[in-house]
Amino acid sequence: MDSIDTMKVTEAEAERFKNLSRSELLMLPDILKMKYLFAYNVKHIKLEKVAIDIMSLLKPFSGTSILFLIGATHVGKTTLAKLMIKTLIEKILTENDNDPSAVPYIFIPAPANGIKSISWTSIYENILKAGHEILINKKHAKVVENGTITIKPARFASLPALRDSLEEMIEKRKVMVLAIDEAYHLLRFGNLPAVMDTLKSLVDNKGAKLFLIGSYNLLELASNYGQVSSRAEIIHFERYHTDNEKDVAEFFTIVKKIQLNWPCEEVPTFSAISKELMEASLGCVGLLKKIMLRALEMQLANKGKWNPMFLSKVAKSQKLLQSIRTEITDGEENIKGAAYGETIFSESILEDAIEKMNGATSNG
Amino acid sequence: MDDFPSIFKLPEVFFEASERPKCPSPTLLYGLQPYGVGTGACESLKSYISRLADAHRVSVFALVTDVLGKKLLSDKRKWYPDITVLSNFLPIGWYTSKIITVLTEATSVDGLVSCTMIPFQDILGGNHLFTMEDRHCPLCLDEARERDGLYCHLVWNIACVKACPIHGVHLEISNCGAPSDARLKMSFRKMLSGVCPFCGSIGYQCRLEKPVFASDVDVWKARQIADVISCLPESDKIFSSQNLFVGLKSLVESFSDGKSAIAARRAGINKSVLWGWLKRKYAPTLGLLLDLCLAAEVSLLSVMKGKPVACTSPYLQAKPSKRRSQKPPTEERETALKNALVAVPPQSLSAVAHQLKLDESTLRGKFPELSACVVNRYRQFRLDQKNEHFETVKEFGLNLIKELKAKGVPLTARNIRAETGHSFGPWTILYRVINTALAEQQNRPDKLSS
Repeated sequence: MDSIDTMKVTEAEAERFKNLSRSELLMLPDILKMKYLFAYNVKHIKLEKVAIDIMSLLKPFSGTSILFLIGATHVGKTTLAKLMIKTLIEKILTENDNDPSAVPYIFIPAPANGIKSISWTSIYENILKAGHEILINKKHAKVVENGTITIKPARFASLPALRDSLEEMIEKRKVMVLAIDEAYHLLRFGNLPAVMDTLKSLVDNKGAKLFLIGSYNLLELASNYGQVSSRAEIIHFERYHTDNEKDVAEFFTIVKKIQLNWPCEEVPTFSAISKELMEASLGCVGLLKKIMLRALEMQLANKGKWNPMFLSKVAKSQKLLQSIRTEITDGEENIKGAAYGETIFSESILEDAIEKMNGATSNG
Repeated sequence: MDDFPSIFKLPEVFFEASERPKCPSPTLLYGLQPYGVGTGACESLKSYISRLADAHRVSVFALVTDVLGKKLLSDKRKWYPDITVLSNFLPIGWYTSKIITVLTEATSVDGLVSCTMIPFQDILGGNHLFTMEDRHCPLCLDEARERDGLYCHLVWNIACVKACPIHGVHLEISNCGAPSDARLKMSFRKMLSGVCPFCGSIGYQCRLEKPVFASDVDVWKARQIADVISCLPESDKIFSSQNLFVGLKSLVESFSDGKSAIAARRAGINKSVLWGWLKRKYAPTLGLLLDLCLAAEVSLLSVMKGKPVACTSPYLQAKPSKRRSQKPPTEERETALKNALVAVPPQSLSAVAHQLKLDESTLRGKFPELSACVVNRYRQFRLDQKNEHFETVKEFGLNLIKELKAKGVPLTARNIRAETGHSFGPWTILYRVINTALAEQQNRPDKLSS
């Protein structure tokens, strides 16, 4: 059986899981049961809130050209981004005037290894591949200067050639959103404003939007960039907090929804310990799912019989959890006041403003 | 949120695949639209392919060989990769139609056939229809350069067009005007229509010649062809060999009361050619058809549509019908040949034929002995001239050797070139002379003479 971290679910499998009845689910082999839970996602309030914000900012004429989706590790950022891009692609496909040469949405991960120059090369190559570009290793850069056009030849595609080709591809393939997952890997380049300038110039004047997804480290990249104030927005994907009653209630619903489709005959009553699970997952839905996956793995290994003792092994150790908690709380502290919607119109000012506006309307 | 989907439409639970979502595979190549389709300034296929290669930032060769060629092979279409790139971009022919099919599949752009003369494949004769050399209108390129939409027009490829239908200036041959030291190395050259490949100048700015206005006839012809090209998108409905045949018949009927020989003579074309068209023995060639339309003052497009319409160009002055000059009588020819036998310096047979406005072969056929005498006399004269010249050069060469030896300069090709100021290579007489003289002096066999 694949480990939880390396598990892969294909599009066909995800489609199959969608239509499974309870009895069919229980008949599945153990590996597919694991995959079922791995692919299983529930809609929840925080996901919806962030999705609405992103959808409105990704609109072609929203005035925002760079979008940062920042949140805690395993809060569900990638799941959300995948969901949104998939929805947008499906929407495009239903349109009649769909341009067959267009690739409106590109979603790639930032490469996590390599030295500086090679990393830019691999980012450009990844984007070009995602844009279905031809002959990537035969590209040349076009130089237009002093009324002449020449080329910069290269044995293999050089960085300027790839860059030049990429800008052309974004324009000709009518790319609307270029999403880069795990964008905190870009921080390795050091000169953060230069990184942002490089990325921004890719989409500038082409009507495309840059959508960078990452954990709180990404805030450094966003806040170091001068044009954030005018052209960019930071969307904060918050976790659920144990000190907030509404959050506790919503988290209980999430646990209940997972429990409802538990792929074993014997279903543990996780909802009874939803508060403890919330504590163990730090209010992150992704982390909760990881705990549940481990629990299922143990239950399946135990021939489908649940043992409450499994709980002691499914959660992260206290020290590890503390380290993640510190990282998250530091990030939450840093992002305060920078996220989308955190304007000068705080709740009290907004109430006051509404009252004034209503008063002015009634007075004529 | 009108045009963007709402997240609320999602079910309470959803399943997510591990892979990131991808847009469905788009067309292999960008869906670039050709410029000027439906107008007389329609883009040529060669220009379109070079723009497509440029958009993908690959060379034209790579695009044709690695993408279009492979696609042709994969579709089991016949393809010879060693065929030069240029020959595949002619506006007509088997390869062109195959490339159009592959390009249409690869780009999903319809109407690429309008960038070629393929619709006329079975209607017009293909001989001398196109020029092999690239040509351009400097004023069109200037305008295109300013609006950043450089491309080459299909009409520039057609051999009988000598002027720009828009600006009325002569089309220029697209040669580089820059000095040889300003030319780029091969690996830096960009193959893009409207750009000089040798120096990279956009819009052939390297050529410093001012545009020259073309004659009214040339402008009229160019406009007639441009009118036909503008109708290419509707070619299926408009053009057919039957329509052209009907058009030609009506033209001859109205122009010369149905007498094709008279119509041909007025148009300055061979009567058997027009007879062949009217008997449908062979397809009309565009250049001669245009001459016929010009003489009859009807528009080419209307003839091709099958209903000739009068078309007197405001720029076109009445052109008197061409009559063949009278042939000189036999006596005059014989006298001219006899005079050539005593003329000093001797005359060649072709010079005599030129004087009589005849072909050399006509004289040979009628007066074989006299012609042979003229030829032999002239041949002997040229041989004597050659020997005399050789002796002069030999003397000059020997003096040169002496001079160089006196100066202490080594007898190398470079030094001789510097001394004489002329080229000095194995193809020059001086080279042979010096080589022979040196062989004699050094008592070695002269390889060149032997």
